[in-house]
Amino acid sequence: MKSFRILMVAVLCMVAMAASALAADYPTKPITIMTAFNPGGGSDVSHRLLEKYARGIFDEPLVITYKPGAGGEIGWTTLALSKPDGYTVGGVDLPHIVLQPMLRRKGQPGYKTEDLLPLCGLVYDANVAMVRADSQWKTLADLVAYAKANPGKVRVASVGKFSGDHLFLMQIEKATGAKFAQVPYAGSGKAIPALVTGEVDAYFGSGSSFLRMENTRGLAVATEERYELCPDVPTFKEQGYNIISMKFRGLAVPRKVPANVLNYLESHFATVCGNREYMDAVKNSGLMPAFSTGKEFADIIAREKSQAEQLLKEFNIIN
Amino acid sequence: MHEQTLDYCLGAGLLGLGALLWTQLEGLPIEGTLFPAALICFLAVCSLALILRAFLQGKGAVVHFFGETPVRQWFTAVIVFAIQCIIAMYVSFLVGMALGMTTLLILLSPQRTARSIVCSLLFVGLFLGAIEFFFSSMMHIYFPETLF
Amino acid sequence: MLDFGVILSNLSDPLTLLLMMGSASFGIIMGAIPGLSGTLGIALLLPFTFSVEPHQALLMLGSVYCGSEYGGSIPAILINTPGTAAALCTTFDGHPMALRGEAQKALLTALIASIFGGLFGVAALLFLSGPLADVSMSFGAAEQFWLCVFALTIIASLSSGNILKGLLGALLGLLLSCVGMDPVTGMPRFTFNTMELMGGINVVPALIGLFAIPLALMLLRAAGATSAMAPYVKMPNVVWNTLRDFCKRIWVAGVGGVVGVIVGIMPGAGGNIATFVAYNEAKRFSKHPEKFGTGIMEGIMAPEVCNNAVVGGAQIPMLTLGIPGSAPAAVMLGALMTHGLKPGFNLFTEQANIVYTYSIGLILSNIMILFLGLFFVRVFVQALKIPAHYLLVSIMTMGVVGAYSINSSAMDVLSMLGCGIIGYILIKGKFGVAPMALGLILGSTLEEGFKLSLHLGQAEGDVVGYFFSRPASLVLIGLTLLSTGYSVWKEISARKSAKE
Repeated sequence: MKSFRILMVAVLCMVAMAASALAADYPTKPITIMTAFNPGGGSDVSHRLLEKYARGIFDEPLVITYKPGAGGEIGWTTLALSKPDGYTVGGVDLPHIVLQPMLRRKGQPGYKTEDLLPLCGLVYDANVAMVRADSQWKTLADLVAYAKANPGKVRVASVGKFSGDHLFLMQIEKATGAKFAQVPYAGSGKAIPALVTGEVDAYFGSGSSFLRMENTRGLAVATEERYELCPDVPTFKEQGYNIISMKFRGLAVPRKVPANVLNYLESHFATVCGNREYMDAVKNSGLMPAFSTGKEFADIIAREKSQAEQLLKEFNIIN
Repeated sequence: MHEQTLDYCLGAGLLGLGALLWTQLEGLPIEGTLFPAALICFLAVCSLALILRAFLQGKGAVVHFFGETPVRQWFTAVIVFAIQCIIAMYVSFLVGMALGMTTLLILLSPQRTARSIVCSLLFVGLFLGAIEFFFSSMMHIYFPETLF
Repeated sequence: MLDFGVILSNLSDPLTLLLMMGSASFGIIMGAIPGLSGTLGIALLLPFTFSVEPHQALLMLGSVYCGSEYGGSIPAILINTPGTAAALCTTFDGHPMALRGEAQKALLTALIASIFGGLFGVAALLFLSGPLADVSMSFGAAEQFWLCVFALTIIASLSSGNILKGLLGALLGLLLSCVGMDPVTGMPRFTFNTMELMGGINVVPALIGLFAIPLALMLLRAAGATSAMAPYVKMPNVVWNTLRDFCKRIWVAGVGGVVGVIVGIMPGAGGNIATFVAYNEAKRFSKHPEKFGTGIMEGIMAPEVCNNAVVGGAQIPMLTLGIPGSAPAAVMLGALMTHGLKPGFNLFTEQANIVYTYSIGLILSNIMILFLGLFFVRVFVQALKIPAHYLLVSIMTMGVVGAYSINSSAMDVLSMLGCGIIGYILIKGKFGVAPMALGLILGSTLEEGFKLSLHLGQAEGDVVGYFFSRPASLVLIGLTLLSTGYSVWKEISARKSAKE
């Protein structure tokens, strides 16, 4: 009897050790961060900064891979379908991941927002209404007044149609009652030169684009309070329009990733994002660091989704 | 076959392609269909012109579609290569590539001696080893290995 | 504050030079493997630059860029497959020269041309940044559209005698480029409701398919033949002879360089389009245009000088305005920002030392590539001695590997296969693959320019006027008309003289 009990204890110990070894097995090989856009873009820069500051914190190196195409759809669909072993993490952008499934045509294959499990939120990027420094409009009121007097004449650049920038434009049109001529560009890399060379009169888009350009004037920023990265730009709220609009970037994994892996990733990314130098580098690239846990990020996603749904229904784009 | 026959086939094929693609443009707003629709129209006009010209020019020179290669060898090579790609992409990269490359090398060798088979195997091994090293270990570009 | 002492010490640091040499070699190899390109090379090297100084990082990445634009010519000449899309035009004359046994001369011509182009581009960057940046500001959507139209008129020159077939090939290419999701409106086109086609048909795998697969299929010989692909002729003193012949035709290099810099500074147009224009213009001004395509030095010089000049040209708006002039320049811009450097005219004043170290350092880079190239040529030319069936299998395998490694996408491999079969049929049907390749490359840029101009014209209330009213557009329209008119006149006079 006694020997049996000793044997049982021994077996239990071994099982416990094996289980903990299995749990401690992660990670054993490099962790890939999948970027759904081309190298050199905003997402790439964010991920490169993560990779740079993750050295020494993560036990395995982070490797950046690219899977561009269809405005992120290809990358995110691949992410949703990849093996949930914790070695594939994808960068996700809001409001893209809520808009794309909503606007997809019937019968078209692709991921659903729920297929992506939010891991953590990394940064946010407030939207700014901007014009050239030498333009005739010195304040938002000037621009709105001009647009109301000349509906459809003020050329406004935005990145994509039915995208974050387009939603921003819709919010502005709804709040001010002015009508603008939207000129959709394929990316901020195309919209920025358009504003700089004068091809368009204004650009309603990401704050990160605004900060990259010289000789531009920000007419309004869509945050609650003044934006830390451009404190001279007044908010929409100050000028009488309640418009809050920003883009978020975070990380997500496919569903069914085991809990211990999720904990590891979340806690280690939290450490990376808490690094002072990392936060300064992020601010330098035009984004605001704002780490949020998986649960918090899921709440942000849900909130953005309902906001977008409401806006699209109001403008009769979806039913 | 003659040039004229080939021109007829290609002209007809392009017309068919244009028709197929035209049906795919249903239901899309004009903003997205303007450019492709214009292209399909141009394509149709030019294909008709090609067929007309082939008709007017009469039988042209003889075209050796398969070059100097015996037809069977050509098709074998293409089919083996296609299967190689499919296995490599959907089953296992290494297995697919190794099988495909070895098969092709052995099939195409002028003399099938034991020595040439060993040479082929060695070549395939080194080649794939170099690719694995350069791509996967150094550049972290991983190939599909759904078996492993 | 510009301090020449600092710049000199930066550039004579042995570690920096070693890093540049390694990066340049890496760049040449990336360019030489079809499928991999300078863009990917820069992205892959980026993490390794985090632990070095900013100027060293820039020099490493710039060396990769320069090296890859040279490297692309190697497979173009040896196996008729462009290593990078910008080396496409090098296949027109490079491969025929190799088939004649002059592979070494072709490879050396490409090397010398690449270095000349690289130095030309750097000179533009060093001395003409200001004025050229201003010129780049005048290029907008309408100019993008007209540039593509101008580039399309080159089909006439590429398919001399059979313009109808060339046109069909180009239309096919343009249509295939529409497959996938429209980047602006998000509408899926020609996808047959499949996920795979949503990403569209990527240019580089399609090019590998169009060029490499038909070559491989044509290498299939009746069992029993053991010959290699082309005769390997030992050429004594080939380096000096090539250099001497190059200098005799220096005007071609000039044309290539100017075209490379001008198209390079245009955002949205990079090496792909520039090399076609350069090849076409060199052919137009040559005393013996009918020899282009049969394997003459000028046919290699024009595109190779051009694609290396684009390196310098594309970085002018990148550094001064933060607007990259080509895809690899876009990645370099991202790299600049990751290192905390913000592009703009301030960069030239506040970080003058870094900027000038980099620009002058690129000159050193090019010289290194010259010596590395001399070594690589000797190695690569041995490939011609391989028996045909080994070469064939290697080409097909590298095609798969190259196509897959761009985006880890099986669809790319399938595109390559599909385009391979199409390419073979096109060649046998005497359509040629170049027009289809051109259509594929230009399609999305052309459509983008067209749609944007429509939107902008609508906002102004005068769509037609928008297309025809801007000065830069008028220049391009004029060039297009001249180009078409010239081709038509040549066809007519050729027919007339044939009748006499």
